[in-house]
Amino acid sequence: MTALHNVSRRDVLRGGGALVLGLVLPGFSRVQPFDETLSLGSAGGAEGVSLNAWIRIGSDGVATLRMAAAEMGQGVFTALPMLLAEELDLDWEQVRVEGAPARSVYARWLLHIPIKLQITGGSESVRGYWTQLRLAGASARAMLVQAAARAWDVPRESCRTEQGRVLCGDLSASYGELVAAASELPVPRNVALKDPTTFRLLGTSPPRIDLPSKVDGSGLFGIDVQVDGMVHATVRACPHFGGRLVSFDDTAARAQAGVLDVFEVGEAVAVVARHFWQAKKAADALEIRWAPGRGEGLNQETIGAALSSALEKGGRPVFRHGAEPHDLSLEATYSVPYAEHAPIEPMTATVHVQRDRVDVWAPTQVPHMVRDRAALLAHMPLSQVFVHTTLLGGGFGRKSFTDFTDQAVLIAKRVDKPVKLIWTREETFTHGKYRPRVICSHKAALGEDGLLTDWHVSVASQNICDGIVPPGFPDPEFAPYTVVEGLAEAPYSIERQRVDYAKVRLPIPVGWWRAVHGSHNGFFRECFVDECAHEAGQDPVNYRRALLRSSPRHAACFELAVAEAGSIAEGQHRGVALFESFGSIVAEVLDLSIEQGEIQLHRVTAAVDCGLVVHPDTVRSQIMSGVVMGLSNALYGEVTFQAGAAQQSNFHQYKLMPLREAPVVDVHIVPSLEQPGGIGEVGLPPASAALCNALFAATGVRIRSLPVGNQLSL
Amino acid sequence: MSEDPSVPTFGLLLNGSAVDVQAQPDTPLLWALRDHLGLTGTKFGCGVGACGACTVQLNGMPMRSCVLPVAAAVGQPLTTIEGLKHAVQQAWIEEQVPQCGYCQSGQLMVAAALLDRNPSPSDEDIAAAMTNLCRCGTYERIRKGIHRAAAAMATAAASSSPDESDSEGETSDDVDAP
Ligand code: FES
Ligand code: FES
Repeated sequence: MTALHNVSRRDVLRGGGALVLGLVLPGFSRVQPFDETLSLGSAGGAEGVSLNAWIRIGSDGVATLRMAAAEMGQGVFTALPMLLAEELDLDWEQVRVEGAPARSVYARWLLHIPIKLQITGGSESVRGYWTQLRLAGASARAMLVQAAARAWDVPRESCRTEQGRVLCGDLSASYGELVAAASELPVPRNVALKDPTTFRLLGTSPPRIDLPSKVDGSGLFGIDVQVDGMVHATVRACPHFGGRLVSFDDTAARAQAGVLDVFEVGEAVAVVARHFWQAKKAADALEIRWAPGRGEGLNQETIGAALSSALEKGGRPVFRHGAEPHDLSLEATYSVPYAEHAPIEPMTATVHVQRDRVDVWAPTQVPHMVRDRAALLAHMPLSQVFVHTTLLGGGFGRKSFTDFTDQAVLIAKRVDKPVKLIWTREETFTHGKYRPRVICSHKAALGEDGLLTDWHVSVASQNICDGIVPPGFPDPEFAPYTVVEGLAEAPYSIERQRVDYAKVRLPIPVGWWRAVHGSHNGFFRECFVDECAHEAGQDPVNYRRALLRSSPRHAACFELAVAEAGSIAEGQHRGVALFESFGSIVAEVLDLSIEQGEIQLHRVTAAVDCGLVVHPDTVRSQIMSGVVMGLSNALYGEVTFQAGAAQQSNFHQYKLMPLREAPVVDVHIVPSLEQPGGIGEVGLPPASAALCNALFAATGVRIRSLPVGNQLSL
Repeated sequence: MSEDPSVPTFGLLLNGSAVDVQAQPDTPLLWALRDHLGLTGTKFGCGVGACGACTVQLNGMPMRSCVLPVAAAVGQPLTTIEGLKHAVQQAWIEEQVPQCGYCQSGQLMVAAALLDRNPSPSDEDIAAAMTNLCRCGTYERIRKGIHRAAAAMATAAASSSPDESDSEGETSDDVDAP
């Protein structure tokens, strides 16, 4: 059985099945003129006939749908097929899914930046592919209807579609019977999309398509890739950010069993061996001298001082509402630490560099960037680089960087075999793209009714967009704005507001961490609003009600959470918070108690308004996921630095919330026909604030600096 | 790939079959399974016994295979996710537990072992047994999945009592369906 299993895996990788696709890839250009033209390209693959780049239907009616977004737990391998299946009136039982290759037709327009990319991030998959996929489905449906109408010699308008069949009076044909004829027809120029009130599939929760492979061990993650003749590599990279590799002695490493090669790759040493364990042991035996370089003086104190002095010097105003805020008597300074994504699958990629082609198998959120970088690094034309996206064992933003795939390409260039690179957990933790450390000062004044009227917020941090935003992109307008997301344009009615941002440059790599700026701004804003309520002697729920007077959609979401939470149980304490991000509004009510000196999280009641819902069960599970990650990080998550080196190397030093501590998360969805919002990240921002507000209610101690850690003496 | 003849061979009782694996004796069972035998359902998360992604069952007990030398597993019944046939897997689908799924092989191995020795665990039993980490935060559904599997196992046990033994479509059989 095991042998069989292996053989079939390898066959898949060789090109029989779902992973190796579309072997002819036209060049990808980053910026393309906008058009909604559906591809005339074919959805390649073994079985079935293509109606466009997304849809292939077999004579048995099985519809294979191409997924341009990566599945990393957020449910896109179910939600995106639903968009196609809805417009196409497919029989859901006959839907199959396969990953798409890196190819321009699978790119989409980013929501806030005028470029078209094949990227999974920003909670944008459903929103970003919403029109594109529905049009692809509707257009394929029109072709099938046209084929049936011709065969039956009836007007198109007299035909309808249902569960994978075209029907007209007593006549009926399955899509499988019609697809060959349909594929000969021209792609229609204009097709009508369904009125959302007539959706049959969207808004229901069919079982997720990817789950069977996640309960029997068959799901293929990046780390699971096996290619014939493959060898293994691991690295030891310079632990000091801003530092460099001085020299290394590999005598002991090379003497280890199975070691094939040891060499320098950038500011790292790579060990290649027959098996991973051999590579890892040999890497442990390396004697390496590092120079901390610019990292030398980089520690908790100096980083803190850099942020504070930037804040004191004052940043640049990036948002104003009304006149200059004045008479600011209430002050509070908040901060959050660097945070690591910590997906349970560490960084890994498998690369085979051959004379005429490069193959990259990777758990990546950015297949086309991986392809562009691999082409550059291996000096290969874009058309000869093939990226095979696997399942991601968690991404959370970390796998939208190409550092690990780039490194795997550089290593594979030196080896005449396919190489699987795996970073140890220690490498993964100490070479992150961290959520930046951020400090935020509030200065405010309350009106006679106690409500917040004047608010001056200043934020200092490294900017994630530094060095990432492509040339020509309008960084100055865009980047600071996102840094203050949710601090600017809060849903609250505040007469005078100003938000300043001070950018700090440090050699610590920072990146998109789940919910990105919302991960800290939710904490900064919603805890400070509680402070204002406390100052005014008002209840935090009623206080927000008053501030939400001009934001009915936010108010409705907030009221739903409060109503569903009901009254506070005896001995428990409550915190509330509200935050909009990625086009969705989430309100959370958290109830906790203190039991024998321990925080006991009982329940988080969440309400979410994410517009039109594609798959309600995914909405519930993603909110639960965001809440747990937000709470885990608020309680424990902190990466600290010494001489520019991260001090947390594994889970014993970077605690994740275990099952025992996780609260029940009760999710309620606001019914809506508004444009869909994102869902993968939006549950996270309110969680830390709801927690700290509840802790204040329980203890009278105001946590202004995360993680909570042992700041409370309970 | 040809192996060095000086490398020892270990006999495993893997998922009901006798399997030989040639590896350095200190090779963790995790890597023997993944690299030498190609069974990649068992995952690498931390390598230090801290996350549970690598959990297998040895003699029916959950074991973190990243810190267990392959030599220590010789000759004892060893089950990996590829060999697991348990009501808990069906329950995991019914509760839609996994998200990214990476931790779930390990979670399932622990949950199945728990249910095998405690067919109706309390929330406290579950919290005590389920110490594996899940970055996607699927804990609440894991808890529900275990309760659901426990209920399904109880129903199956009741309906397979002698007088009803031929009843068709027992839920517990569903997990073996392809
Ligand atoms: S990989 Fe074994 S416990 Fe984490
Ligand atoms: S499901 Fe992703 S880590 Fe558990």
